[in-house]
Amino acid sequence: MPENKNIEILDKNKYKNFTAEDLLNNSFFLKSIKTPTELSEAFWKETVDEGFIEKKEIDLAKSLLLALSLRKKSLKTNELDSLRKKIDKNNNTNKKIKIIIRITAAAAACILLFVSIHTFFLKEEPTSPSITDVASLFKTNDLGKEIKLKRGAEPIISISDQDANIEINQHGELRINSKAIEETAPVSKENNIEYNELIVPNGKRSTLSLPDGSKLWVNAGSRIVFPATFKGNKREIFLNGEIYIEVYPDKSKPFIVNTSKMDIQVLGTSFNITAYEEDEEQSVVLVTGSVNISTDNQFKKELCPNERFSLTGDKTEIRTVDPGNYIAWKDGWYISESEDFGRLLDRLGRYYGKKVIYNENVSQLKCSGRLNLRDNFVDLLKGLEKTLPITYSEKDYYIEIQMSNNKLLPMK
Amino acid sequence: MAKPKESDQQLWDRLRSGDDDAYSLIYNRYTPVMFSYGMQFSSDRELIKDCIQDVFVKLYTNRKKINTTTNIKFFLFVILKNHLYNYFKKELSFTPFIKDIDIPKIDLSPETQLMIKEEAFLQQEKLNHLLKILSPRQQEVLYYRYIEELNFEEIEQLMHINYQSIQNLIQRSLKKIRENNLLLFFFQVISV
Repeated sequence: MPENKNIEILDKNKYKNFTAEDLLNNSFFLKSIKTPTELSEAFWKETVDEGFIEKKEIDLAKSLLLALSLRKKSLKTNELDSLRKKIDKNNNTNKKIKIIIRITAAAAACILLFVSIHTFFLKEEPTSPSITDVASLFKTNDLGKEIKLKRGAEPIISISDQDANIEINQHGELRINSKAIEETAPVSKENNIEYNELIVPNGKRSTLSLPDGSKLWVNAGSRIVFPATFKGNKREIFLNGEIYIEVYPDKSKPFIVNTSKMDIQVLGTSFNITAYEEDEEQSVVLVTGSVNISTDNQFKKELCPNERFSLTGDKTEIRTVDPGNYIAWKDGWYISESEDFGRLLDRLGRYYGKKVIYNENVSQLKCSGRLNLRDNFVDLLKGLEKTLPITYSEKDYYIEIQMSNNKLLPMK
Repeated sequence: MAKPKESDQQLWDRLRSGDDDAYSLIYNRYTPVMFSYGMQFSSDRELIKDCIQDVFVKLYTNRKKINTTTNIKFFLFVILKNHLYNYFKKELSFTPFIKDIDIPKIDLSPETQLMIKEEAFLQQEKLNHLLKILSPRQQEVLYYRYIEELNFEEIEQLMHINYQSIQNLIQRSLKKIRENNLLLFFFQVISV
């Protein structure tokens, strides 16, 4: 067997007119450079001497490969052993952990979807881990480029639209943009709570209707983890990002939104939460009803309609606001009232999925007004250029905003 | 060739059935490449070792519940990269290459040794230079493709870019090297 294979590989005709690219895509060539043998060395020399391949092509492929090999780093044997000892020690003490991670290598389904490959299951135990624990398992800071819905062991669904409309009814049936999606492998393990995850990257939006009748508007750059069905005596979801939510009233089952820094508990109400883990400030704006907020540092507070609660580090603040300004994004508007321009740029960057760079002077400009988020980003910036003393320049991967020197500072 | 080599999937399935030997084998076989991979994003050896430790602990805890795979290395790369994301809390990219030249240690006459040193040094200098003209992203793609020999679908998932972008990165890298006329002439060069 192996001999036949060698003969086939060593057929010089097979490599006639190979370019460096062809060579690099050939596993025998890669092997010959990484672990050369006398045979392989002689073979490649002959292919050149006999005119099958141009020497410069081989040299190019070889140079590239050897240069890349310089990046390799090796682990010493004693490091390998001591690391193993630490792992074994951990494994022996960790056996009680009940979290079951299910990793689906849905490779076939992922051909053009740029997804990370995990979904997870939890076994319902008296001490089942919190939804925050579930969410932190395999959390990713790179949300990718497309809206993605992961449901338990189902293949990940990727949605390329700018806006998605996702509905899950009380029977667990899923509709995306009004189209029913069949489950491929219904899971019927009774004791498992199955978790779903919705990822909405920068530049995208989605709505999400949950089985209990609650409705969420999900802003760009958000990740939500929620159970496939709400079992037990509460409805709990995890959020990293921004949502506006209308909670379906159910007095027997409070609805709880967990974020990295606080929990918001409600019975039936509507409110906006901004809780991006990477942002310093997290906030809640209550539109109707009432909510209870508890933060990591034991702060508890009930909020009334038209109040905005914010948490920055350990500092909390409550003030009365026009809630309309804070939920305008769900209808495609951005309303700001004497807001720092830097903050506005950050939010726009997230909304449009573009990185925006600016300096301190730009950041400190105050602005008020209403922007139409249906405009594209560049049009919007052109508009801002006319009213603010700034200029923008569009680069490959980001947009840079600078103060323009020839304009007077004062603004409307 | 007495018996056919165990496939990745078979080895992985043994791990999933709770076989500790399979776990050990996977540890010994893949830790070195995982380490080398992790070190592309950071120069902190201890940090990378800690992350690898986490990955293996997690793998052990959940070994009976994980799904099957046909490429263990890729699978471990994805988990390791996720871990690193969580640690750095930012977009990961390959670090710029830092020169780190090894001179071969061998017992030869001082003159020969010097000659080899010089030649090895020159060769490494050239290779260094070649790496320097490539962007970290280009290096990342090339590393996956030619050093780790991952397929396009796998690279897509690790880098969150599509097939065409990967092709472009590779094509442009090769074009750049050609244009800069950086290739080496190998056949007359040392083999120690």
